[in-house]
Amino acid sequence: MVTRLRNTADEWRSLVNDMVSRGAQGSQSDIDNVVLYLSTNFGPAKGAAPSFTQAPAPSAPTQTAPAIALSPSAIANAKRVIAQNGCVACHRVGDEGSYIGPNLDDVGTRRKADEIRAAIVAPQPQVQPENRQVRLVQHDGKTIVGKILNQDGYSVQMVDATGKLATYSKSGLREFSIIDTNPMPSFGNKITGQDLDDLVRYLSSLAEPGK
Amino acid sequence: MKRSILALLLLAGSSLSAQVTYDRMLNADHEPQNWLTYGGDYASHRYSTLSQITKENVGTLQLKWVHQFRTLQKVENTPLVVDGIMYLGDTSQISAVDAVTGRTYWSYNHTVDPRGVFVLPMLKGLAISGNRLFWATLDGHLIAVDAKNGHPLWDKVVAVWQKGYQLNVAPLVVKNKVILGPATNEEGANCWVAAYDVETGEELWRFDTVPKPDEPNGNTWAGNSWIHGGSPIWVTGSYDPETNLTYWGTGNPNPGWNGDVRSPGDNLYSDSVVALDTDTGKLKWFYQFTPNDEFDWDSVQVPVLVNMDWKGKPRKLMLWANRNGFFYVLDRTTGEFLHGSAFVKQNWNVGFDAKGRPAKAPGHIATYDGTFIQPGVQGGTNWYSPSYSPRTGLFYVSSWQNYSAISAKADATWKEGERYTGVGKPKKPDWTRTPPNAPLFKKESEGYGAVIALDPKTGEKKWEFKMVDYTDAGVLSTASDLVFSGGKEGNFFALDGRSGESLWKAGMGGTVASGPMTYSVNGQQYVAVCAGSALYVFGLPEMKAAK
Ligand code: HEC
Repeated sequence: MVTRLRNTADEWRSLVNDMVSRGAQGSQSDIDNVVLYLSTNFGPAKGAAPSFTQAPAPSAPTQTAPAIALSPSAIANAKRVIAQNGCVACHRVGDEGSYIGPNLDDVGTRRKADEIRAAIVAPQPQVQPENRQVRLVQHDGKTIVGKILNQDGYSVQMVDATGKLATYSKSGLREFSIIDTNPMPSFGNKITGQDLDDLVRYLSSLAEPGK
Repeated sequence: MKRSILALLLLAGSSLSAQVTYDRMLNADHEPQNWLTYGGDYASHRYSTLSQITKENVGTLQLKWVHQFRTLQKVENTPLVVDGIMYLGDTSQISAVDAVTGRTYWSYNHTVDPRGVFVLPMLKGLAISGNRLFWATLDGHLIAVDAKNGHPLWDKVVAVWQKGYQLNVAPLVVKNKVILGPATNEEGANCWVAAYDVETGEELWRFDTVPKPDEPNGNTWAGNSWIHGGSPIWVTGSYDPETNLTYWGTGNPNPGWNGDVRSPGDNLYSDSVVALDTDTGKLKWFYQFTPNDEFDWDSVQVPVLVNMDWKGKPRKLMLWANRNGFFYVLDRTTGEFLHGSAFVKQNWNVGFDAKGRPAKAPGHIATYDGTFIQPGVQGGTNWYSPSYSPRTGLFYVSSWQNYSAISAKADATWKEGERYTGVGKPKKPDWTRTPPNAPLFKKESEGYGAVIALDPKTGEKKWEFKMVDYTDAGVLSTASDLVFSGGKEGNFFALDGRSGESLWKAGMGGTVASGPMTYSVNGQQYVAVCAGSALYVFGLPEMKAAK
């Protein structure tokens, strides 16, 4: 994997081109998106790479509000895109949704528009450490999957998709595995054009109350 | 009725007046109810013959009392207990408290100069001799305090903080001497081990941990680099009455992360153990664990002295799990290297020569971009007290497994009052560090803390007790084959000393970064440990109601 390196946009482009020349599939706009994503998240001198030293480590957005005010119709369109694409199967937006992925209610304060766009069209294969999931198999065979919130030698704290917080004793487990593959599919082919623009601008406008 | 009260008074009176003599210190194992030195005894076994708390009943341990320190720093203190009185402290206050109830008899305050900035703002412990307690303060005072009322008897500045020094060790008292040394705040201030008169505070001898160019081994520093060689003292040494030697581990040379100005040269006596004549301070022998260190691998570990059969012959040995990731056995009379084996993953040393000099792996040096080095900056272990149980014959130590660093250097120029580290910024971040108190999403391959049990005869790992987060906790072992320790996760736990199986734990709500100790009063055994910024004392439930 190359995700743990830091490169400039040019370096990323040559890496991606190299991967394409070895058979990686993708349209030119996909490739542009990948390069954009990699260089925004893994560019030089930025804090956005998954890093234990600074987790969670979003780069400070230069602007939290979109340049152009969002029209009510753009907001409505973004909400429709979110609903139609099942984002709330993993994300919390407003009062609905699940707890597997990061809460999107304040994503505008954590991520720049480019980063949000990249996360949607070219999600990275491995999640940030704070978005890791955990798979537990109890002695009776029952399997539990959820997002890991904390752990020590004795126990693990997690939240499942429904938002239930629970602690499991490690001695009661047959299996304990941390999953860091990203469950989020790429929406690069499904959400495009105006829909993508509205979605990105809408998400960029979401900020924690008081921020 | 009257007679029993009188008897009680006499009893109490006699225990109050009992002085901690050299003889008592020598025979600390004869009074396991007390904890007379930082490491429990002069050999620093951190082992107790107390056995009331057993594998069978340890699961019922209960919290008896808590002492809150007046600090927000994590507390690294190991208290002393003498005849039912506990002596403990942080960087601004020391206290005498009732060891059964935690009620304070007296406190004595010292205001650390607020202009000082100290790399390690903590106090590891106190020392006692007669009725005097000795407190080495962060800003360089050595203070003798009357153990009965907390009244200061003398107060000497033994290290000037403005010159880059600090004190954080528990001193070691041997006969009429209080022995300790300063650390530098990574400011390249050259350090020493010195002995001070218990009566007056007068300096009796001093051993410089960086020799001058015309002194023996002064040629191990290139050019003028010796002038700011550092080599600090920040963990208590041990004492061997049979050889009359006192052993101290020394810290890293300055600048710590860039060896260029110090090279070529081994930079003695950094990252070494020095064996000093207790009466004169003369160097009898030394062994350097990490020559020309660039990875901050201070050898500030507590020397553990054991008498043991070595290859069929009884020998006086020293056991040492070093920050550089190797476990060593040395002959403590001569300093002869007998054994060295890695107890964590390491990539810097490809083997020892007959004299125990490590052969550095080619290319495993600090670079401007960063080099992948195992173990990491905090090492395989660090200053945390290990324990040796003569019953199990095992050496117990807290370790950082699967841990590494990207060692990057920067140019370093010495300037007064500034850090002199040469530490650089790696091009690639260091994956195995977690920010303090961060939730733990870590996998085992990304590093974990563990208490390990080593067979000192072979260096072989007998068992390992895994945590998720790393650990800065010391280890205590007892005659019922219990092992107590903790870690950054905030648990304090008891393990089976023979198998490593967990028998009991308590969530302390704060990092355990101190060495646990045990004592007893009126026949009841207690176990005490600092976690977060408080001291917690545990005991068995069937104990009589507190006073
Ligand atoms: C199957 C689960 C899943 C679905 C469905 C999903 N996501 Fe995600 N998403 C995630 C996870 C997990 C992450 C965290 C990835 C990481 O750590 O790199 C994430 C990350 C993101 C991020 C970056 C957030 C941040 O703080 O870094 C955005 C923006 C995002 N998703 C938007 C969406 C949108 C919009 C949709 C619907 C179109 C969607 N996601 C659908 C699981 C999902």
